Amino acid sequence: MVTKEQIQQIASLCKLKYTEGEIDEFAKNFSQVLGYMEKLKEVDADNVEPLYFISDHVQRFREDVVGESLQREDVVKNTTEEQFGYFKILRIVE
Amino acid sequence: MDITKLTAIETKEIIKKRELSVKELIGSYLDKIDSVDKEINAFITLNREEALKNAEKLDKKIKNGQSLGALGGLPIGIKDNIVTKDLKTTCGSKMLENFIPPYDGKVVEKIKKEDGIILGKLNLDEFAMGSSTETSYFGETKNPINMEMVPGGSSGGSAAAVKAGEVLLSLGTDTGGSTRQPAAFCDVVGIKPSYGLVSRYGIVSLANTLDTVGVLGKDVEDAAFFLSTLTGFDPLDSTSSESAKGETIRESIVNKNDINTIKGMKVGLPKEFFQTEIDKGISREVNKAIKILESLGAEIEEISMPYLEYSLAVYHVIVAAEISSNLARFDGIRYGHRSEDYNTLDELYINSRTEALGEEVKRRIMFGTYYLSKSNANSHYERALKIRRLIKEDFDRAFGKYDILLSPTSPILPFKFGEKMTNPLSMYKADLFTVPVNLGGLCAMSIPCGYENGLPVGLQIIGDRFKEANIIKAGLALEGGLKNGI
Repeated sequence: MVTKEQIQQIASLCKLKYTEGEIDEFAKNFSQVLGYMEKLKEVDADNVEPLYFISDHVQRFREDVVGESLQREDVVKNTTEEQFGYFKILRIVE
Repeated sequence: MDITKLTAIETKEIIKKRELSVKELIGSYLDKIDSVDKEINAFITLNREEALKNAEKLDKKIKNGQSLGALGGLPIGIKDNIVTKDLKTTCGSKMLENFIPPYDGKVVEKIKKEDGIILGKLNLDEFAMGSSTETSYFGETKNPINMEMVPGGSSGGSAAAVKAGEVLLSLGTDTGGSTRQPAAFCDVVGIKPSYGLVSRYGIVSLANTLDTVGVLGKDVEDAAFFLSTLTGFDPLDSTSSESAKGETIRESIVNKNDINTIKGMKVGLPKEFFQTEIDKGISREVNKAIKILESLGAEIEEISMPYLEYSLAVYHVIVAAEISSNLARFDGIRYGHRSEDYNTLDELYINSRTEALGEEVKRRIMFGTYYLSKSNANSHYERALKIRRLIKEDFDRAFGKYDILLSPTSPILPFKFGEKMTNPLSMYKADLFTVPVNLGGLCAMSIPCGYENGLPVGLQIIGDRFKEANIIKAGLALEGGLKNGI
């Protein structure tokens, strides 16, 4: 069972906000899904290596050459506030 | 003649013989969209002017005696989580409502290079999270077979658009069944290629270790042909494979009308799949399809894959974990929705994300963060990865003996809108047979095989990694068998 406090804590890690009512609803869903996940405990997997990745090829090196990339003015086009070709956000250091 | 009834291969012939100009062809498809899409809502963004302009360019090319690329003039739709330069890409989310990508995804680049005509961007569950296309910020897409039913998801727009004749071919994505399940619900063919066959560059990530680009078409030949134009190594996708080539796929289509290609093929039926609760009509039609393949000479045997039953739980944990880190990029700063209501940087993040992400997306971010948190990482995330290996080994053993495996694509028929929205677990279960394929990095196809109460049933044909040729051969044989009343 997951407590309301735990859900608040997870939400703050996710940078999300839930109202009191939403948290109740969420706790119900959460417990139901976690109940289903209990199934995973049935399997004896202690000595199995985790499979992080399906393909077995190794990463390759390449020459460090300058290639074409995105243009700065195109990249900043999608931000809400832009100044001098930079993304503009709040001042965070005084 | 209604031109939109033809297949891609047939349409290509007509263009080649100059019986129709590309502009006329594209015009017919745009007319079709105008007449049906108000109701179906498969498109989020229509690329009308650009499509007509490109059609004119191709007609000029033809007039000058130049030959067209492999997709010469064919009208194509693209799922809206694949970025398109200068064409809005929303992922079905308020978060990216106004996002205009500064570059093309690799598959989009390939389509353009092969002279395919992009008609627009297709609807999906928000950030491809869902199995019904109901979570899209831009409204639900209707199933052209029965407008009261969902088209499946998350590539619901891609499947519906092909079925309704709004496009000839479409791109979907498939992380746990998002191309195959809507293909089954909308009565079209959908192929999920092996992980690494098609570049993921420019696909908005859901779960990187499972995501693939999928293709949809009216029949096996169309879908396989489309796939063969998209394969190949891409240095911009570090997981893209150097070993698999489109030629092997094209070669497997050569004997289209030779249904004997399946003779001697070894086919496994995982009994764990068939022992689960499956709609009676689906069971009946799938068994009929299996009988057809058997009568064409396939050697069919039941097999046991003991870890399959854990697939859904394993998938859910891995997907949620990867989502929680992938969606951290939506912070309201570089692109995407930015809240107007904030006084601190933290409030900017929190309010932008809370305002612009939908319920299911938030839910999965929350689950994933929980599974990755320090106290649960071993018991949930790592445990899921260990069982993922056991599932993969189940498949490795199976493909040591068999060429393909069969199952229904979905245990349930298309359902009514709203029916499963309140219970996330019942929605997740729609992907029961499709998620194991992604966990194993395998390839699979959903192919129409019959009807129950007027609703379509899909058969899933699963092949080993980079053995697309096997599933295509089997699909062509089944299609031929069904057509010839075998």
